[in-house]
Amino acid sequence: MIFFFSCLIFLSLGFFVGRFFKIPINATKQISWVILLLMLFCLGFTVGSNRNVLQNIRSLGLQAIIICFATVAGSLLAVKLYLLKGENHDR
Amino acid sequence: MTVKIILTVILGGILGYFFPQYSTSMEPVISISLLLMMFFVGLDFGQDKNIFLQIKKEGKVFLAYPLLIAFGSLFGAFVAGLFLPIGILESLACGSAFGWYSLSGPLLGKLVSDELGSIAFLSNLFRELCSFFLIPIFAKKSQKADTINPLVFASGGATTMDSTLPVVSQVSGPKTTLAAFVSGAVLTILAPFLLQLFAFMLNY
Repeated sequence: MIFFFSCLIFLSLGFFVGRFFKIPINATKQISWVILLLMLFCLGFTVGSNRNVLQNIRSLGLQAIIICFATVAGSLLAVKLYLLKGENHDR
Repeated sequence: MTVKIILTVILGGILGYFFPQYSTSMEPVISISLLLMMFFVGLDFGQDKNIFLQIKKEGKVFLAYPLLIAFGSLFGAFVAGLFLPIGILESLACGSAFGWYSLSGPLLGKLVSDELGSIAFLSNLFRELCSFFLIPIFAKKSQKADTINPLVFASGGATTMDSTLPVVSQVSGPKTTLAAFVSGAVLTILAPFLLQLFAFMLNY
């Protein structure tokens, strides 16, 4: 919960800085890309180092992957159908 | 971009497997880098002068996307549950976290069973990892930066409010990023209620 609010605070902080100062978008994109890769590396690291999670992947991973694919596919399908309906509506 | 993301996660995973003693120092790095990226996403919003006008004009659409994403996820989980040994309600419970693995795993583990907790944790962790790869793929297909493309963030579910938001911001315009943030926030609010509802139904 504390982290959630910290995220909001940093987001609004960035917003106000961006509003009052002209900042080159390309530079910020490059910096945050590097930070993103650092975060992804650490995320992979914590999963790889957690023996408990790895053991669970072996026994329950297949079911988890199927649920993951089903939910992602369901969400994409729902949005796609909505967009298609909108296109037909416009004509 | 997707390839670099996949390789980075895998590299981290392999190194983590062989040097698990360093994993405790990773958690603060994740939190700090996430906060820094939120700052940069905010910068992006700030540069766009018309962003609030856009919300005013398309407010309803902003709310339609998370509801569609939620409905799609639950539908997918229901269909998967028809074929899986864990059962339909259990599958729905896992799907109703929309990628929030740090909540669904412990919650369902405590309220229902350790096994369901583990499946919920893994399926939602996979969903977050999946969307790190899928977001750039779907963004590539649409070149229009000035419109909202909900397909970009549909896979991310609740995670598009925090962990996957920087990816959305990286590959698409501020309007899609804002829609992704709103969608992630709505799903983040929705997830705990649905999780508890399914946990309640499973217990009675």
